Amino acid sequence: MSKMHEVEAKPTALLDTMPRIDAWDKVTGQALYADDVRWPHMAYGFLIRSPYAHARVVKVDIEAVRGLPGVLAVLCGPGSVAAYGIMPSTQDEHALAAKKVCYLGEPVVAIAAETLHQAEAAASKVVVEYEVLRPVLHPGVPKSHTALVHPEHPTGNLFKAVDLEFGDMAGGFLDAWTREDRFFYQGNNHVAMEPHAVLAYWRPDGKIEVSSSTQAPHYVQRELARALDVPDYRIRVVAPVIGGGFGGKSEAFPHEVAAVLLSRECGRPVKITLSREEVFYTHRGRHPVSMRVRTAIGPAGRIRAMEFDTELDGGAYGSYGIASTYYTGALQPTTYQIPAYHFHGERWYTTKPPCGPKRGHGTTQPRALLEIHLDRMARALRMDPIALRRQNLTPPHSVTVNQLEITTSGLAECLDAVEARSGWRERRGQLEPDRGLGVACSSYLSGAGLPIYWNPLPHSGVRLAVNRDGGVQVFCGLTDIGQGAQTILVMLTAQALGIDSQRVRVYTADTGMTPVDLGSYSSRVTMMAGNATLQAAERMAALLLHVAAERMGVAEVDVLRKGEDFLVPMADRITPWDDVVKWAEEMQGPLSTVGGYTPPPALGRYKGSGVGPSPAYSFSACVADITVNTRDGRVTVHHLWVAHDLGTPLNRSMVEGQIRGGVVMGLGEVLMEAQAFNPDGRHRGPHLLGYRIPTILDVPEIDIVLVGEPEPRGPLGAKEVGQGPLNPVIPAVINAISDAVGIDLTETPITPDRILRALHKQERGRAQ
Amino acid sequence: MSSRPSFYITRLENWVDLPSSLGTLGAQILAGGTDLVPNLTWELASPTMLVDVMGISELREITIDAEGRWVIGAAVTLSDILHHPVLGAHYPMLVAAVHAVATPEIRAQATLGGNLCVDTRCRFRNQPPIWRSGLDPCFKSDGNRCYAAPKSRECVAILSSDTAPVLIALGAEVAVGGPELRWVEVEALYSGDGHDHLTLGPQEFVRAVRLPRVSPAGVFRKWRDRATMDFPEVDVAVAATLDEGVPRDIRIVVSAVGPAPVRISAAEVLLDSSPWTDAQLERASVMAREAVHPYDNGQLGVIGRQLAVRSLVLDALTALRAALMETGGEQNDLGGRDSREKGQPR
Repeated sequence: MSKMHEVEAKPTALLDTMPRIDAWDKVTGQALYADDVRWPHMAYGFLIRSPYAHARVVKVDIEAVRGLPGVLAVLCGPGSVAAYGIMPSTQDEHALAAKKVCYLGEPVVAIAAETLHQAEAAASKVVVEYEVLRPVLHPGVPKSHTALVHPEHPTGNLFKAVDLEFGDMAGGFLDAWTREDRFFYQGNNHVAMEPHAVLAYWRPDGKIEVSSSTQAPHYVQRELARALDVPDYRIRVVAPVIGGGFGGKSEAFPHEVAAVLLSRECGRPVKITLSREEVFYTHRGRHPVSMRVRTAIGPAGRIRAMEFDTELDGGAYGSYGIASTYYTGALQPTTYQIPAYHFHGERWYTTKPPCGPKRGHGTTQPRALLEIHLDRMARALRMDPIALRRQNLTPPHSVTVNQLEITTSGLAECLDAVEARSGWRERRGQLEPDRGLGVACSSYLSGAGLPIYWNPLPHSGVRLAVNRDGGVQVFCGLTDIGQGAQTILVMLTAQALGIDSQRVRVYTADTGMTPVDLGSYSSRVTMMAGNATLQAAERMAALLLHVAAERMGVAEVDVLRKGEDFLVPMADRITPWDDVVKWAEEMQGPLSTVGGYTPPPALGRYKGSGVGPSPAYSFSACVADITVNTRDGRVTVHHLWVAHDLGTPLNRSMVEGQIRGGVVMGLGEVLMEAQAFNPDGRHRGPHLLGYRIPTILDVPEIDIVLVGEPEPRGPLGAKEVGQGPLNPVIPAVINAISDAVGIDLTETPITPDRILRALHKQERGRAQ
Repeated sequence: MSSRPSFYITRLENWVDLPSSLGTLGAQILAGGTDLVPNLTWELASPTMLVDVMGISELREITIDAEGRWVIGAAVTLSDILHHPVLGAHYPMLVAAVHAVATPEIRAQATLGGNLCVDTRCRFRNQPPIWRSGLDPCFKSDGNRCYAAPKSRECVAILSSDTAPVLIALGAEVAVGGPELRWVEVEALYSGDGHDHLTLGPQEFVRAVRLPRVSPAGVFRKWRDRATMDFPEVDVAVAATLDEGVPRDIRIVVSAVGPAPVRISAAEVLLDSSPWTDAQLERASVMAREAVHPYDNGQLGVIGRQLAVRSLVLDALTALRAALMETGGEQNDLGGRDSREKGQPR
C-alpha cells in the first residue's frame, strides 16, 4: 500500500532485509506470552479492586473467604513490606491499599485459588467497607484536607514542581514581537495488545521466580526486592514473549508484587492476568497536560526567547512522574535554536490511575503545542510554516541552550523531503474547500543518557559465547517487546563475526541468566545493547583471528575473511569457521567475551540535567493532508508523509514497521483516544468500545522517507526509530485542520463532536 | 466479580415451540449472540434459559409473499442480507444500514431480528464489572435512578440499532410471533423506556420483517467516531416517494439519541406541504434538532450530538432531494435547481 522511499542511496548493514527471528513463532501461534506459561500446581490470583476513585478503607473482612472451596491464600493491605516506586525519590506505592484508595481500580485484597472461577467467587464474599471521599480530578490546590490525595505528602497535591531557566530571558523578550498559545493534551493509554500478566513462584528454598510481561526485568527485580525486603539476587525476573509495551510495562505493578506474596502464602506458583478493564486502571500512560507557551520572535522569524509551562495531571502515584515532568520541557530546544528558555513544570496528584511513560514520554504533549504555536506564529507573520521552521533549526554538532549535545541531525533534510513529496509548495493554499496541509517537526532520544537510579555501571551488558557446534550465543538483559530487539542483536553479531545469522541465538530478558540491560524504554536498545553486542562480538572476532593466525603460523594481518572462512592467501589455505572455533576452544577453553555500553557523560550540571541527554537524537518531520467534513465533523486523513533521520537503518522492514506503528498511534491520539473520567472519577470507558483506537479503515496512506547520515555513536551508524515518528503526526494533523477550515482547536482528541462545536462557534462568530 | 451467571440453553427447530419456551421465567432468545454474549460476560444480563432460535428454518429465510413483498426472517444474518443476490438492489438504504453495523465478523453472526431488538446501551451501564460495582443500580439494572439523566423517571439508554430507523423510514412492518401473530409497524416495536425498550409481550418475539413492495427513495447517515465498528452516536434515515413528481410519504427518522427512534413529524409535515428549498430543508433540520433530546450517555459529547442531528438531517435531506430530482421529481416542488446550488451551510 505504501512505499519506502529513499532520498539518497545510503550505506546499510549487510543483513538489512533479514526477517525477524520471532516472525514464525508469532504467526503460527507458537510464541509463549506470559499468560500462556503454565507451571505445575499453578494457582490463579485475583485482585479485589476499589470501586471508588477516592475513599478511606474502613474495614476489610477476609475471614469469610478462608476455607471456601479452592481458596489457597487471601491477603489484604498493605501487602508490600516497604513502599516502592520506579524513581528512587518517589517511593509511594504499596501492592494493596491499606488505609485509603486513590483511584478506581486500586487493588485492596488479593486472593489465590485453585481456579480463577473459585478466586472470583471467593472475592464476592469479601467485605470491604469504604468511606467515600470526593474525587480529586484536576491539578490545583485543594480546598479541604479531605481533598489531599496523600495527606502526608509535604507539598499537598503538588507532586513536584520544576523550574529551569537558560540564557537571557529578559533580553530575549525586550521589545520583541511575542505570541502566546495554550493547549490541553488529553491523557491516553498504550493499549498494548497483550494485557499485563505475571506468574510468580516463591520457592521452598526462598528463591523467587517471576515471569512477567514487562519491558524492564531489571527494574522489576529491583522494585520487588525493595517491596518485599528480599535481596535482589534471590529474585529472578524473566520476560517471556511480549505483546507490546509502549512504555506501559516499564515498572513494577501491584499485581506483580501481589502474585509473589500470594505464592509465598500458598506455596504454589500464582498467576495473575489483567483484564482489559484492569489495564486501563493500572494505566501509567500518557499524562494529561495543560500547557502554555510564549515566544519572542525577532526579525526574519528567528526565535529569541521562549517560556513554556506545563501542568501534568499525574494520577494517584509517582510512577515515572519526575522524569515525565522534566521531559515536558527538555526537548523543545533540540529541534529549534532557542537562545533563552524558561521552563516551569508541575505535576499534581489526582485520584485517577497513575500516569507515566508512553511512546514519546513527556515530549509528545509539549511537541504538539510547540508545533501548533509555530504554525500560528507563521500565520500571524504571513510566513510559510516550513520557512519559519527552517529559520530556527538546530545545526548538527551543536549544544542546545539546556546543554544537550546534538550530534548528527537530518532535520533539514526531513523538512525538504516532506515538503517535496507532499507537493507542499504547489498545493498549499490551492486545495479544494475544507482540505488542508499541515506540517510539524520533532526529535527524540536514542536512549536516556542516565539510568533511572543513579549508578556508574554500564547501561547494557552482553555476554557472548561461541560453542564447539559453531553456534553463537548472545546473552543480554534487554526485552524484545515487539520492536525486534532480538533480531537486531542477531544481525549485529552475525555482521561483526562475519557469519550466517542462523548460527546466532539470543537469550534475553532474564535477570537470572543475562547481564543487565536497563530495559526497553527511551528508545535505547539498538543504541546501547547494540553497541554492547558489537563490542563483545568484535572482541570475539579478534580472539578467533588471533587463534587462526597462530594455528596457521602466520601474522594476524595475513588472515583474511571470506564469507565465514578464514583465509591465508599467501599459503593458499582456507579454514572454515567451525575449525577455527574448535582450535580456539582447544587453546583457550570455552569461548566467551563480554561487551558493555555506557553513554557519554551529559554536559549539563544543573538540577534536572539528567533528563534529556542522549548519545544521539533522531529527527522527524511530517506533513498531513486532510479533509474536514463540515457536515459531520469527521476528519479524513488522506495521506501522511513522514521523514525520519535514524542514521543508518539496520533493518528496513522493522524500521518501516516502527514508523508505521508510531504514526498510527499518533493518529489515534490526535483524533480519538482519551483516558478520560466522569465527575465521580470513573473512567469513561475502560474497554475497547469506550476507548477507541484506529481501525485499519482509519489509517491513511503513509509515505516513509529515511534521511540522514550514519551516526558515529550508533551501532553501524544507527539512531532511534521506535518513538520519534509518533510526535510530529499529532500537530501536523491539527495544523492541517486549521489550514482546512480555519479553526484553532485547543485540546485533543479532535473528535467529530468537537469539530462540529468549533465550526458552530466559528459560524456564530462570523454572524456577529 | 461475583460468580458467573448460569443458565440453560435450549435449541428449537420449530417456531411453534417458541412462545411456550419464552413463557419460562427468565427465558431469553439467543440468536447471533453478538449483543447478548458480551452482556453476559459483563453480567449485564441474567437469563435462566437461553432459547437458541438459529435452528428454526422459517426464521432464516428471505421470501416474497403473495403480494410481492419481501419478507426477511428474524434470524437471517446481516451478512446474508448483504450477500442476497436481488434484495439489495431494491432496498439500497437497508443495505447501507446493514453494512454500517459493527464489523464483518459480527455481521456474519448477528441477525436482523437481533439488530432490531438489540438491548439499549448507556455509558453509565454498559461498563465492565469493577466499574459498576460501586454504583447503586440504575433503572435498567432494576434500581430506581438514572445516572445519565438524574431527573428522569425512566431509563434513557440508547437504542443502537442501525436497521430500525431505516426500516421505519421504509415503512416496513414486523411480524410479531407469539400466542397470536400480529403485524405492527417497526416504530410500534419500541416503548420509549430504555429499561424495557420493546413492546413485545412475555411470550412474543420478532418473527420477520416485511418490506414495502416498492421501496421509497431513501438516504441513511450514521454518525460515529471511527470509519467502522462503533455503535451509532446519531443515525438519520429519510425517505420519500414521488407521486406525479411531488414527494409524498415523507419520513424523517432520527435514532441513537434515546431509547426509541424518533419520527420528526413536524418536519415531515413541513416538507409535505411546501417546496424543498434550501431554507425549508434547513428549517426541517432545525426541527429535528429541537425534537430530540440526547443525554450525555453516548461516547461523543451531547452538544456535538445535537449539532450532528441537525447537520446529518440536512445532509440526508439534501441528498434525498438530489436523488428524487434524478428520478423525475419536479423542480418546483423540490425547491428548484438554483437554490440547490447555493451550497449548504455548515
